[in-house]
Amino acid sequence: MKTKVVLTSTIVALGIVCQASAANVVYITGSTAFRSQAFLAIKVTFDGGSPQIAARGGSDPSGNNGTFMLFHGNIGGAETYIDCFWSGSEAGIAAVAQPGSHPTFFLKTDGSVAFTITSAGPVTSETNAVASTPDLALSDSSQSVSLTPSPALVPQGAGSPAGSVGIVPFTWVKNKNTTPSAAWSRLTNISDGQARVALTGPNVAALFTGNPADTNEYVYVVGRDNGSGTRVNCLGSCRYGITKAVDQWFIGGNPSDGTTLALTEAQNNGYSSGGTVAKSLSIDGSCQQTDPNFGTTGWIAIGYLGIGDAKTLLNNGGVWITLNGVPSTNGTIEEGQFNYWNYERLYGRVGISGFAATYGTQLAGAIPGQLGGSNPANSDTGINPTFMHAAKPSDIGDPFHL
Amino acid sequence: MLAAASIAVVSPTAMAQYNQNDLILGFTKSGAQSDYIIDFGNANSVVGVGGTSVQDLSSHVSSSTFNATFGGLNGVNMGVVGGNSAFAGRDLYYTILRNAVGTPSVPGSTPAPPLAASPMGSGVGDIASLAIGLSLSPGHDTTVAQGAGNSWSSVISPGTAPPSFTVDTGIDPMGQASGTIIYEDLYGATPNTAFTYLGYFTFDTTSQTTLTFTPAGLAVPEPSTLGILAVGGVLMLLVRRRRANAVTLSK
Repeated sequence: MKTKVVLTSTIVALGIVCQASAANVVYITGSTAFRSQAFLAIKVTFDGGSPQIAARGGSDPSGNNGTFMLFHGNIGGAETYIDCFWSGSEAGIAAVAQPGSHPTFFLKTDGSVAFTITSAGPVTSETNAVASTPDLALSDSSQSVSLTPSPALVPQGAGSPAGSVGIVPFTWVKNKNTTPSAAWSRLTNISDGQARVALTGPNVAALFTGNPADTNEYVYVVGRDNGSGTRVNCLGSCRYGITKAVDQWFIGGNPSDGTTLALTEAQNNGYSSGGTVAKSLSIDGSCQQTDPNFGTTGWIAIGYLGIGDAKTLLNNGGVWITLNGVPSTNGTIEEGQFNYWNYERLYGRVGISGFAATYGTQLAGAIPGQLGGSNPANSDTGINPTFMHAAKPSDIGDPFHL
Repeated sequence: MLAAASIAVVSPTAMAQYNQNDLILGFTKSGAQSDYIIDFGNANSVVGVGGTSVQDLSSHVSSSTFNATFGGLNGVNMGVVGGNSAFAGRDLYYTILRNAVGTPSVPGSTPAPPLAASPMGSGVGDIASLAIGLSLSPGHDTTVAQGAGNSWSSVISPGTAPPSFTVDTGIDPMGQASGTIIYEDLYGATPNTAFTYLGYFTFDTTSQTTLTFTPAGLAVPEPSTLGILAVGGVLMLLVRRRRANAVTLSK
């Protein structure tokens, strides 16, 4: 009798283990600028729309801007984990296209990661020790202009251009100064030509303000590393050159500590996330600090961000500036006046099949419904393509009205 | 904190980087299908800028690739560029056609006027873009279709569509060969300072393909030193002949 009980228990236990190991897992990586939109879309793909969520490395209590996200629940009645690591569009494409050269480590799906939301990054025990090959990548630009144009990835969904699931807008910003200088106050706009010059290194504020008195304060660009789609679109839309080396700066170290007003040269490097750019630009007081390079009083920092991070900066004292005299709003993008945006693409790995392929199609269909748009004065993190009255012929082409 | 999570996402361009102050040589020719590009490596340690002896760079050039691409030197454009885009240490190197061999310490051309920091940084950015776009690394060479967006013709010279080196700096580093040998002066400068003559390249295809860099500071023996050496040589010959005679007589 006892033997029968033990055997039965063992079989039941094995069944539970088999069931646990049979859970579907889809790994997603890519765009940090679009991560909050991806968060919403992934949620609605789960049965009931309320999966368990673990998020690490983001400031929002909902978990929508975490660097790491883990969703768990049922999709079509089958237990599923959607495991995300948002490393940037370029890094994401590279990780999916050439996983051996770009190992990516996600949160564990063995049940050991608590479904909690924290601003701190994951502890070592929470991420896989062995790299996983991502199934899907969200990218703010097409693979053809990326640093990893081959092998060709599989566009997901039926969007046009291929793989597009929405519009991802960006904006230029300037750093926080509660006691601003006249030059900082006058710096309210940047043109494409000025952006090209600014990206080569510090320039006097007069270049941007047009005021001949603004020659004592220099303007520095704080930006992203070359794993970023936000950077690709910045360099592409102003025609600087996507792969051309830039001269950017860090404030408060790398990653920024968010408090130390210390300007250091990043050269062609930059921050690995938009959240860190926003954090660095929220450090107050540059107008009163001695410029470490020129010895003059005061300096100004500008940067480029996705809308989600730009809103975080705005809430923390930073300021948005216009581009070519045009603000980044739904209306200026939908009508083709503002040019710093692109189509968000969802790519699958080479040979994607089975549940991952099915999920790719499902996610591509779910994203547009989670995007904003149509209210012209708003600045939404993503715009549903159905609201667009303008299009772009290519990643670096100018918008035209349909 | 993220670092503690053992995250290891390698930069997409980790394998294709431009090292500051590496010099890159480009050959183009009107009507040719391809450009031929060579990444020497560091200006000082590899090319010999600032040195005192002629540096033989022939091993960097594939004569078979060169001849297959251009069919000979006549009509080929040649130029060298390099630099540092970092604000701290920014500089730029480029070449101009040298009129004649002359004296190594004297330039055979007139440099461009001083360049401000922004156009200089932009130009070096273009050089880096070329290196990354072609996956170049020091000591390697490549050919690329002239019409491609990442070719020397597109990114450096003539580079008529921005962003390109000639558009961003106003400097064209190319000189055209009109025979089997070409000389090109190399200049370098930091922002807002006059370009300094650093020496010249000699690319010679007369009998075999050779490429050398002769630094402006080439050590040239003084006339008096030459005289002493000549006398010493004669004396050594005399001593040698006497010894030879002595050996013959002893036999």
